Amino acid sequence: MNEFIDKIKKALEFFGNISLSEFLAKLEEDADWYDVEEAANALRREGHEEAPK
Amino acid sequence: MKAKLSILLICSLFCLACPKQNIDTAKAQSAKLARYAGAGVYLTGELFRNKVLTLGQKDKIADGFIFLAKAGQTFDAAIAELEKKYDGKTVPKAELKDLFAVFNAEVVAKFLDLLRTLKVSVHPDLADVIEAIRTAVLIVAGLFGKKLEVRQQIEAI
Repeated sequence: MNEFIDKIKKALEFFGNISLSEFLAKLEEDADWYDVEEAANALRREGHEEAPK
Repeated sequence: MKAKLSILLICSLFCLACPKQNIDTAKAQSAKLARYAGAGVYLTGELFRNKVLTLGQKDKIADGFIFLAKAGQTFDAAIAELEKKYDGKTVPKAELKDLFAVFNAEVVAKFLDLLRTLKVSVHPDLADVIEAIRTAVLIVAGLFGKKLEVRQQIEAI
């Protein structure tokens, strides 16, 4: 787990805009597969929304 | 090396002797896998928002995570059914074999699909998340004594 976090930490440091604390919080969150599906569906919709009129 | 092998052998024998622990461990590993997948979804979103991934790449990866999530739900449902059926009693080996069949047909197959998607669009940093999910998949496969079989399937991608 620590090795995994270190790798991700390095990756996130490379992209300064990505929040490490948010990512680590995701790893600790008590999420199940239904939460993953919901988040993945939201991600799938991203970028396809109609521009506000 | 010998000591590591001995520990592994003892652990394997212990797991075989305690099917209930197999169920509990499979449940815990499935939850861990879900957390890693959730982190993968988050990271994919961030890479897309930072213009590292294109819209098309993000969509493909998101689709992969949706399929993986559905597969995880099926696996969790199979575990819950076994738990209800045996209520703390020893689960017969044949039932564990069926549970692995669900794991293989659902989680492993969907994970392999996700890997195929990533092969064309993966960013090296997202690969670390996938590596973590891969490890979790192999741990669950190991519980059923099928680690090698699953590893070969993954490496064949």
